[in-house]
Amino acid sequence: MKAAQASVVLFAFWLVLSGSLNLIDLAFGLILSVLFGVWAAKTLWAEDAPVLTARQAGQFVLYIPHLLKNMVVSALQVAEVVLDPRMPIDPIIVGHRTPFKREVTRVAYANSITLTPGTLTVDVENNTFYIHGLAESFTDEIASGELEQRLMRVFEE
Amino acid sequence: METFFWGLGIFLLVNAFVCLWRAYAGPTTVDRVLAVNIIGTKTLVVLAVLALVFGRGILLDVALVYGLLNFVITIAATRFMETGRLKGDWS
Amino acid sequence: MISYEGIINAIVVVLVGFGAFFFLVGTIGLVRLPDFYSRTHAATKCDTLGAGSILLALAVFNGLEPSSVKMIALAALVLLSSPTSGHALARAAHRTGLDYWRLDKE
Repeated sequence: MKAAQASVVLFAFWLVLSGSLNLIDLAFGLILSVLFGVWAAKTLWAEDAPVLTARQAGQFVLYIPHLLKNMVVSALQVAEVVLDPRMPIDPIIVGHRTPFKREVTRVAYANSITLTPGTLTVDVENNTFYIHGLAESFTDEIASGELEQRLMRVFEE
Repeated sequence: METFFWGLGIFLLVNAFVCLWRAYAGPTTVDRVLAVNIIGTKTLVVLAVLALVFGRGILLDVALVYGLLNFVITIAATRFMETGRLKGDWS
Repeated sequence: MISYEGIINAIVVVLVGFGAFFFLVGTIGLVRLPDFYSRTHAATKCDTLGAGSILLALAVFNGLEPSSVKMIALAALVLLSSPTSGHALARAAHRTGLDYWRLDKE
């Protein structure tokens, strides 16, 4: 089952790369993607891949625009800091404990923090995230737990 | 429009050379790896621009492999810095 | 009368300008900021957005072709890999005991 999923994804990737619909190209791609799919299912996804229910997948798709908006805001904020001659930063590293139960939530949370204005995930130990902030006001936003609640709704309900 | 894309490519290359200064100056190893990673991203975009200007689709494949290698190089370098070896579990 | 090509070119110029601005900010940040962690802020955020919007502009200029799909795939690759490698570097720095720069409060 895992091998079939991996093969489908690899075949789609092959279609993007080759960009042709010749019979020979398609056959070659099909053989290669099945071979690599079986190999990938054995070695790369030896442990359980993250499984999302339909509702969680929908919530995740709804989460993406929020993430993109945050990316633009955080890049603008870095621009503001960097282009200011006085460079108003006061960096700080804080630890933040979270109640997540699944690995996929932790991954999403770490990447979301990195894309939130002024914060960067430095280290993750069990459920404690070490966050570098350009100023204390940015890490306060993480500590308020709003992002955490949002991701809990997406992945753990 | 072609002149515009040439300008963009030159602008990105100048940026990449400024980043090279950070790779030279350091002061720590992670700074150098970060600078090289950034230069890699810029090179990837330059390759995509060249593919469009020259009309050579194959440069896009080169850019794709470049991006993947750039990622793998960074991960391997950080892993080596943390554990001092490249094989076995990463803990 | 505004032509279709004119609209496309305007979109491309705006997106490229946006991306080039963020690339410039990323470079200035990489040179100006005082320590590794703050440089990673500039590198991951600005460069990801810059590369993403320039590649999107190239795909828009190229129109509906297989190579445009490849450019979007490149943008997705940068969007996924850049924060991840930034995080890996920050973790390596943190675990090897690199301290962060503090503001001198006198």
